[in-house]
Amino acid sequence: MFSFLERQPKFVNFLLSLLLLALIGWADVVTGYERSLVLFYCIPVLFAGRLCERYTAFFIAALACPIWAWADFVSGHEYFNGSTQAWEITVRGAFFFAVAVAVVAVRDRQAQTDAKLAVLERARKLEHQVTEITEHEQQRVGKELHNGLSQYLAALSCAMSSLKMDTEKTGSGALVAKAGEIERLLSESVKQARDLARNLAPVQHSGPGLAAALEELTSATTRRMGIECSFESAGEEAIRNDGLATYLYRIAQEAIDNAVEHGKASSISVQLSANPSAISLTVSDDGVGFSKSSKNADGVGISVMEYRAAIIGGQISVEEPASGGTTVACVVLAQGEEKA
Amino acid sequence: MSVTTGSGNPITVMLVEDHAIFREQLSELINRQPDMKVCGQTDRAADALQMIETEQPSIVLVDITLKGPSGLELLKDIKARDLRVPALVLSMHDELLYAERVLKAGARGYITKHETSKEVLSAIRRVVAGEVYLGTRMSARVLESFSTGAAPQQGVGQLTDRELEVFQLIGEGRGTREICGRLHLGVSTIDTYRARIKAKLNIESGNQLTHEAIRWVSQGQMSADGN
Repeated sequence: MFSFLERQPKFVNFLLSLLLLALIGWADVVTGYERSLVLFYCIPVLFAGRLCERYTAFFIAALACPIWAWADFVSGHEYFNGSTQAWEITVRGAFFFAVAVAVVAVRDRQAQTDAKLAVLERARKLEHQVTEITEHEQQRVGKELHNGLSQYLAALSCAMSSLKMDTEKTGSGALVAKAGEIERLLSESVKQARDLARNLAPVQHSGPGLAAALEELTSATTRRMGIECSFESAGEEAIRNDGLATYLYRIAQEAIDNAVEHGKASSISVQLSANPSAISLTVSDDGVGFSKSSKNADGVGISVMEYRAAIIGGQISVEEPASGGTTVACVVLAQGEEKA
Repeated sequence: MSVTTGSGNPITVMLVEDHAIFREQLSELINRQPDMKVCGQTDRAADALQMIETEQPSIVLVDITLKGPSGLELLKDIKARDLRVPALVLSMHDELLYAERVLKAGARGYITKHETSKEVLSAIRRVVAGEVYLGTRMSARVLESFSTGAAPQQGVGQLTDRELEVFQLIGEGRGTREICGRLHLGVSTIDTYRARIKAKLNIESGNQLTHEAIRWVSQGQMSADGN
């Protein structure tokens, strides 16, 4: 009912509150002064405070006071003397005014809360957008690197190999050595460009692309960190959303980083399972456990994962199994996937 | 480097690659080899088919990304027309992503452009010699899949029909309330089933139960898709 009235123009509500006041004044006259209706005069004041401009409540309160006095007089209330009557009127007036102040205060508080919520909501949306834009931009740069610069570097590497072969036939030893050095450097640049592109755009396609990217991530962890990092997947074809795949990859990456850095793990196992209605990603390690690792840093890592999971409509859980270590799991249900 | 001048016919290589600069440099490198010669190059699958028929190369190097239909389409066409030329795919894409698919499409090998020129040349020679060429990571994966296979989860066989039903529904991402509705059972009954499943499968937490159930359903999905 309030929402209907809220949509009406302010002056309509003002007229309604005047009408209410008049009705209550009339009822007060009819019922006589022995039956006090003073509390009912608050109704138009509250009404005005809620549905009209904020100062209208004070106007109605100011108007309620003489109307009450008039009704009191008309219904034949006799006072001992004039000052008693004046006192009664003043007390009623103060009461109406206090009600008006209260309703306006509540209204202001409500407006402040609404504004704060709106700001928070905007900030949250903006945050999501920034994350998405960052991710998108990384993908773009990664793809550009992969399709553009990498191709040139590969071509350059071929050209250098040709040149090296020529110098081997005709050139001096120093030239051959230099050519060999350049060839090695080029080969290193090709590798670095590839790693960079992979880091920026790790998932080339959803589904099998995600599984391939995670396999690459786990084997790179084994290679670089000397940690046994295994990967297992089932049904990854069911993941058909590129954005979803990228976010799942980032979550796995974060969990592995945490396990290595804070968990002091010596073995990590990553599992991806997907079917048309649910996706599950778990990263388990045999480290010191979540509660014993350096809390601050881990806390940030987990909130980042939670944040990413929230974007794709998933949920993160962190547990310490009895066998030791930490298990980070992310579950995305199909309803969540549609949202992403 | 061994020089094999005059040892029979040189290996004739056809390049199907859309990046002109890479194609040029690669063809120059190949022509530098005493036992190899580029007999044609193009960036379109359609042209490639015609050229293969007229030139009859010993090997065709194919990129996945081409102008027009992709390298995968070209491989399928070569197979369909029974052109009997071994194809080696040379691409910027990760081998884990494409190797299996190109082999299925009829290629005899997959090598990424990140590999050194020496490795690329050696791959060409091996494919011409009749071998299948894959990078180390991909070979390891192929061997792995032979040795392990998809291990079915242990213990699911111990579940009763009703428990299995609940397990399946959890794996499909249904919440307890939805499971109650479907099976016409109360929340506490479902909780009992969950507890029993956890005990039988040696699962500690509700989250782990969800994960194991999703995994089980996903594995079933995979074998169903494979048929």
